[in-house]
Amino acid sequence: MPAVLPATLAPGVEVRIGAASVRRLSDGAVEGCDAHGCTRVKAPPGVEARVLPAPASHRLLRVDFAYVEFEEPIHASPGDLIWFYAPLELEVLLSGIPALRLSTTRVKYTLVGDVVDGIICRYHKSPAYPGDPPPPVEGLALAAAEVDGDPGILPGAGVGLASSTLYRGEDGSIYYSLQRLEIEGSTAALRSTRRPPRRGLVEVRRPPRRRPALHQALQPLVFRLVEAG
Amino acid sequence: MTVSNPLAGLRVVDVLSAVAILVAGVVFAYIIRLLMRRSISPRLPPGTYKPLENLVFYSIVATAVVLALYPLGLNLSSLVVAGGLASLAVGLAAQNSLGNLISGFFLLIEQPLRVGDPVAIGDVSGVVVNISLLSTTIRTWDGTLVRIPNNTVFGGEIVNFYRTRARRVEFTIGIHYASSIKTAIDAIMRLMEEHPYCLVNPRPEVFVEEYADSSVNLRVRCWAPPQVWFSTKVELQTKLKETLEAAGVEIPYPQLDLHIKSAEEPVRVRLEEGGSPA
Repeated sequence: MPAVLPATLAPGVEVRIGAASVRRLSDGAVEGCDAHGCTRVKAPPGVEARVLPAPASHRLLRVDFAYVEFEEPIHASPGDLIWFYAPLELEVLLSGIPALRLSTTRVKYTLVGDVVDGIICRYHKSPAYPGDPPPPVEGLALAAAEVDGDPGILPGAGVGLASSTLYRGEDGSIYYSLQRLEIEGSTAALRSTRRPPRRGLVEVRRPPRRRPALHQALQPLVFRLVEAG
Repeated sequence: MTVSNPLAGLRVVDVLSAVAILVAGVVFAYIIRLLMRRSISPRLPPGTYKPLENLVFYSIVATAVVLALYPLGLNLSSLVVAGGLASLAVGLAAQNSLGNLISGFFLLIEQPLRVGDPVAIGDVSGVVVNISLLSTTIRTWDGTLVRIPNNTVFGGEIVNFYRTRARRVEFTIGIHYASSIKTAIDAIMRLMEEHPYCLVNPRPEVFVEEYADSSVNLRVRCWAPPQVWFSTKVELQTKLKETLEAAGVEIPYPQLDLHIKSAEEPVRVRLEEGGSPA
């Protein structure tokens, strides 16, 4: 997300990032639009409106994970760092209170795991880049997965949306905190860290939230690797 | 047969002690419930928290009742013996309530349904709004509240629509024999791929189900998160006609072709003069 967001949204100002746009109207109301519709929240002109990048966890359903399918599966060995693009949302805060949530890309979901005990995840498709991070793309965040355990062929990676922190680069690009992929046999388990994926990033400070629920914090995202035959 | 009165020789102090224990137990249960609501409730899903709260609360109250019997010189074993015929009679009368109570405990432990789950229990279908020790309350789809004894819930067939991560949306659509099956399948697949709630995995699918009298019937399937299953089904069915029309696929009316095989004699048509219309 290279476009730098304004500190506050003054009346008449419009921000467009990817498929999302936020507009402060002259009467103080805030209108947010994305691929799934527009919402307007009334507010006096004196109320401070801010737009912050947020994990893609609330629009349209509340989910704890994003699953990013790689355009081509990638070979991963312990110690490898694999970069990919991950979905992102914008959060509009009115005097610090979350008022709107907009997606910068079309929302799609997938089930990772079994119908009985799998996890519904936000879905995104992205190329995978081993080693160095790819250039930032407007409306998408960058994420990196650190591989641990056995070597394997990864069909995709995940992002723990509920437990990740967002970081901002100097050029305005947004990064998810580092993800750890533990490969064991034919499955990979994902856990989020709160560490930035590279140096020189600044944490995106958001108003304090409720701590993640116990079940969110403890459950990893487990998915199957690519197997020949 | 003589039945000794277990309450004979009871002192006021003992009665007061029993009442004090009972009151202290209930107050303690309320305090624990308050603490749980402050510390655990925000961190657990409501469907998990509420039964846990009920279980802890009623367990403390039940323990207080048992403890309150001791100052009165009663314990559970002596009560059973002393109760004799009286307890048998009470037991028979309270058979249903006890059954509900025990079923309630099992429901809280096994948790085949939770508060907020959309379920079908026998003929009743709706959302669970409360699970107490004696009964379960369901808000039906048309908004009425139905209280079902826990005996019936636990002993009956429970269909829980939330206890699965995804639920299949499924319907059949007929297309005209003159329309291209491939075009129709491609258009329907595109519609499902663009719909946010049609999951990428398990994959949506469309296939020819039947060559019927008036149409080629296509079976349409996609999986959706259970909480949006109904809206996904409604939206897909609503958009389907428009999508197929845009792709040049016709949805036919039921029709019947009449073929006359005998060609040797021309078909004779006789017009008869009928009565004049009224």
